[in-house]
Amino acid sequence: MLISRRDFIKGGVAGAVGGVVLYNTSHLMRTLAETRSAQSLKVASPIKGRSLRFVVDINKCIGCGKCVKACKLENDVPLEPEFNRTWVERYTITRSGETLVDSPNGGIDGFTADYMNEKYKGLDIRKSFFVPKLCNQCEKPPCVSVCPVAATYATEEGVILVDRNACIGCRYCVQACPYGARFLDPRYKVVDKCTWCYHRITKGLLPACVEVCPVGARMFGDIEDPNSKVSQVIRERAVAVLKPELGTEPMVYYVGLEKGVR
Amino acid sequence: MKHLVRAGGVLIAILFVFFVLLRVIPVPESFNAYGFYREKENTAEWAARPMAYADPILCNQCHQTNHGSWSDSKHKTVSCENCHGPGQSHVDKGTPVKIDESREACAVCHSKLPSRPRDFPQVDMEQHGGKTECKTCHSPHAPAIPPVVLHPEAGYSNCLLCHSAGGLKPFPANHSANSPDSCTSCHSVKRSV
Repeated sequence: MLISRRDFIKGGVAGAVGGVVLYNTSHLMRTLAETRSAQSLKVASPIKGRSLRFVVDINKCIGCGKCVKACKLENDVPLEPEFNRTWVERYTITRSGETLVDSPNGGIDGFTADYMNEKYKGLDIRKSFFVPKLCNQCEKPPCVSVCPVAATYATEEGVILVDRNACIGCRYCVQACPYGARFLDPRYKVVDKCTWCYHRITKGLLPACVEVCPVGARMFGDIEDPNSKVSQVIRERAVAVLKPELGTEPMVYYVGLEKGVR
Repeated sequence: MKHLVRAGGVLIAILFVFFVLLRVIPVPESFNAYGFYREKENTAEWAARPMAYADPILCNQCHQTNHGSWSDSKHKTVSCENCHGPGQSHVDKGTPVKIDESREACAVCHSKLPSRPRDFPQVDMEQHGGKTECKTCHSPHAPAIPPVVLHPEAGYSNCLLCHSAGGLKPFPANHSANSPDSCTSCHSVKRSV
């Protein structure tokens, strides 16, 4: 049977209307789905805005490496020494002006074993100190800019996270981070980094490294809260950030940062 | 004509199933949201990670004795899980926590290093205490310098373990003439708690 022109046009109009309805149904369902899941997706974060700060007091750090251990156990980081979300460096400046830097196994076992101290025996040390390092959660993160698949982003609190499902493991971000805070997880072939223990801070707890630090060299809190430890320290002490010349605007501040520490 | 309408209806039904219903499966819930792809879901995933280190206020709910002595001591800045290890599974399932009581475990913080702050209590581990476990003299929950040594109540033969001429704390020279049998006849032994 041949279709008449009238019926053809009728059918066409009905199809167009149907398409619009179809499209809107999809949108409607999406909206419904979003409303339904809005509650479940919402992270019950006690922090509003980007007011979180992490303060490291170099004058207090004793280099016990408990933070490194706690980080690895808390966040399921590979125990091999080359994979660290946080690590502790030892700077030693001799009287002749030479600077030695080391971080045996990322500092996870401390710095007390004999083999770690052999090359320092008999050295004329002018000063020596420990510098704990971690992701600086930059306000202007180069790692986020370079990601070709937009797999890394800053949460509303300013914590930089990696979407393991989206990461393709290209390691541009590992190259781009001026602080060496990222690494490729050998098990999943995706990039991993410090999250400031996002699962803890969103429950109102401290990051694991801050929790176990025996001397209070690591501090974490809300800078807007005048009673928090970090806002007190930032008010009362001189603080600095690593590599300020790069304009990354880190949210990790250091007390007692020696010139030359990078 | 009728079969065309029916075919059209079937086509629309198929399209509906494929493009509307099945689409829900691969497309993330935050698809239309502003920002990074899957940002909300991924943030929620990171926030839902299990903890290994427990909420520190939980320890005191069962271990009040040790918590009490610890909270007044110099070690009060050292959290329980610093020495005892991660405790979330202990809280959830009662998994026993293991603790390293070796000299090396204490040395990680207290052995002498030039890099440590000068006012932090440090000892030369080779010069101090021989091979004795630190907790023999120093209570880990309530440390003090000099240590308050809680003596075990076992007989005089144990006195010589530490107080012999080459021991940790040798008795004064004028004691050597006396028989070791007589330690407790003059010295009362502090009982261990």
